[in-house]
Amino acid sequence: MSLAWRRKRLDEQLLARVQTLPREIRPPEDLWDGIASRLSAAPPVPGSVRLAPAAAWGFQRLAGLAPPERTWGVRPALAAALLLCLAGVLWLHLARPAGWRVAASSGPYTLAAGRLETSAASRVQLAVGRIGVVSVEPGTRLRLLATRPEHRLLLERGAIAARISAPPRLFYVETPAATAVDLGCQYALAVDARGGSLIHVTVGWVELTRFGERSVVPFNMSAYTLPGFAPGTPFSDRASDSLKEALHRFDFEGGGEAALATVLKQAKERDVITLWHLLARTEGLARRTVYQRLAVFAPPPDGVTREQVLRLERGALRIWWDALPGSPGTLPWWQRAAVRVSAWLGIL
Amino acid sequence: MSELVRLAQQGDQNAFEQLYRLHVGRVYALCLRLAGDATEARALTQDAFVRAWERLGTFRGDSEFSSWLHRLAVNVVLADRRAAARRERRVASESDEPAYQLGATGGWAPERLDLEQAIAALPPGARAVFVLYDIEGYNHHEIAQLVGIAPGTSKAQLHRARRLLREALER
Repeated sequence: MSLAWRRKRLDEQLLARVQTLPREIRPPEDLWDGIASRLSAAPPVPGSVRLAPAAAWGFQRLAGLAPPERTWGVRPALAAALLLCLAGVLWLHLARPAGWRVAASSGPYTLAAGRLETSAASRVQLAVGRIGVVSVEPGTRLRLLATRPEHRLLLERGAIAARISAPPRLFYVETPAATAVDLGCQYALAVDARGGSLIHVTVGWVELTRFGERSVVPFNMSAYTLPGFAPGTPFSDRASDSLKEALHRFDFEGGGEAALATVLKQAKERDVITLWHLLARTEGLARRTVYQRLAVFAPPPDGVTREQVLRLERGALRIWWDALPGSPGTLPWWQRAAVRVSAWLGIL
Repeated sequence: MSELVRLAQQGDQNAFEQLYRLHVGRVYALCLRLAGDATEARALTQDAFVRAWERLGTFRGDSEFSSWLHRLAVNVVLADRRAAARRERRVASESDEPAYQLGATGGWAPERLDLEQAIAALPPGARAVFVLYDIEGYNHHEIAQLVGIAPGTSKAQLHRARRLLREALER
């Protein structure tokens, strides 16, 4: 019996079994509810949806998460001391149990079958295995989906504050509008009744993904997401209100060239991360205009040409990104280490 | 074009829900097999229908609605996979839902469950090609376009997937 003949016979047997697989599989019963809640915010003709203004989300009220004025203003001596502390607390870190665990609470809450819900007056502090803590704010409902190899939860509504110290991509928060991927950070995330969300990063950076598109939100920046749309463009805490409003129109309301023109007009040096994201969200003349504006504040590094950027060549965009003020690539090693250790110890 | 599709295109969510009820079984099966994970399949199925709602206006009735929806779901899954390509390990789901629920057409035979589990355990690239070619009936050129690979790579991935499945099922 030849090898080819035997392989063909085995393939036929396999395909015969494949033919027995059902064409349909019954989905979870509550699947439609999640879709319906997103449809109300995503009609066939998008452009009429608006999130509540950021002030209404109450981020500043989230426990322990008032953003530092200057996250990376850590002096080298402090960084060295923090690194020494690392060895001292290592045993404590390793001693923490894996999995989800309620570390502290105030007021009544329910936790059953992986679903956690706080009342209008209760808070829960949730230990995320050995890698961090999630503060669950009042009026929040979430589901604990997985604990290994990654930690993953679904924030259905309400607000959380996460402080994670772990290698990137070990902690994920699903929302109705996007997935927040921890890249080593501290952040606050709120989801409104329609599934829209607002994230505010205070340490490190977070990646938002949906529909194959992504936004990277560094510290001292925020981003909206809205069901049915790609993640919104990140904006600086110090960005002008008119820039934020125009960006919202551009991302979610079909604001087009008029909204983009306002963003570019209002942009300052502090908005280079916003401008960098807009390169891939525009085309043709609009992209060239974004490039010109970004190059005014942060000229492309050596080896990165205008043509490469306009073609959205990945390597060139990455090099430019790494050179932007505020991006991870601009931090010296000791500052990156200090940020990570500080987040771990919760002292920032 | 069916009346349901026409009503949904006009913004009728009840009509869209009926379309969902008609097609969700196949879309969920596709997402589950492509993703290999119940939690991801749940999110991807929702994404697919939300995207279908957003794009209903582009459906002209040139093909069956089910074909249009199916291809859109494949694109949603593959786009998500490309974005998540860096995640090399699959999430070990600890949700309340079992990895696979009873099929709409009846219960699972043990050998069927073995095969589903073996498919879910395939490497993502090989799994995608196997599901699209052997289960969904796409040809290599269509798969190449959808996945963004060469037709030859699609064939190689199919051979690899079948070999891995044979080995898994013979154990």
